[in-house]
Amino acid sequence: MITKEVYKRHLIERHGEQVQAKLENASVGIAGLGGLGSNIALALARLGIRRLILVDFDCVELSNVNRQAYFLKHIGMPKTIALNTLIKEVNPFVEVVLHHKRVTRENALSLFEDLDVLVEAFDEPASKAALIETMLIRSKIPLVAASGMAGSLSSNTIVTTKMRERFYLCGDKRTDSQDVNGLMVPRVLVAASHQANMVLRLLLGEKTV
Amino acid sequence: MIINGESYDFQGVSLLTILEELSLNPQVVVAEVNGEIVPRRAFERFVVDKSAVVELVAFVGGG
Repeated sequence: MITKEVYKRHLIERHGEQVQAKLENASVGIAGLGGLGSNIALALARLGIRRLILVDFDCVELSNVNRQAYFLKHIGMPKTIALNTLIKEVNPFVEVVLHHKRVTRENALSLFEDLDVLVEAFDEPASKAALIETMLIRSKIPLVAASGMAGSLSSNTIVTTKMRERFYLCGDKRTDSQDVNGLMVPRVLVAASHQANMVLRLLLGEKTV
Repeated sequence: MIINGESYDFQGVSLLTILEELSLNPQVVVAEVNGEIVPRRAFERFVVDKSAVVELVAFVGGG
């Protein structure tokens, strides 16, 4: 039986006490639990973050399994619930708040309040723009978004850019999933890791990319 | 007018017109003019000053 104390001690051994003191008080929201969001959530769970707010309206489909964290046995389940089971297998001590609903301009502020960082991890570009616009105007939470990770171009075209105060963008900024051979796991993971690392840096007080 | 670091000659036009001229879909754009975010619903009536500094982020699909 791995207790919370044992788990915490092991994270401190790996990451150091100063890092863990910050992470164990951190809350992060993730909007969209597809290829980006599902993998970012697992990364943050492994880091030992205190609290995750996870929002997605969708259910797991076979077409998701090529790049998203889900298993075949999750097909048909809401992504929120499937991802929660995976998170608990990695770190049962994360507080997870699940919302099986669509994020809109109207509900975004109330879904994502009192967070340290919000991750934009949608698929649809109009949804990405709507969330970022709404949160930049109406909240003060730092935002880590993604744009451009489809296809099999060089990994090195994916970068993290600070677009303005509180707004970071990860991706190549141009490769649309409609224009190339869809979304494939390697570049999606590169972009997801850029986002997860920017979240980590912000939580540790580092505001540069 | 400076848009994403490049000079343009737009004069007395709306943000929506600028997006159309640049072949950008307003639905996927987050726009900042002189440091302020302009909400999408205001793109049509927002006339951009010819000396404005504009930053446009046009999101592409995938996630």
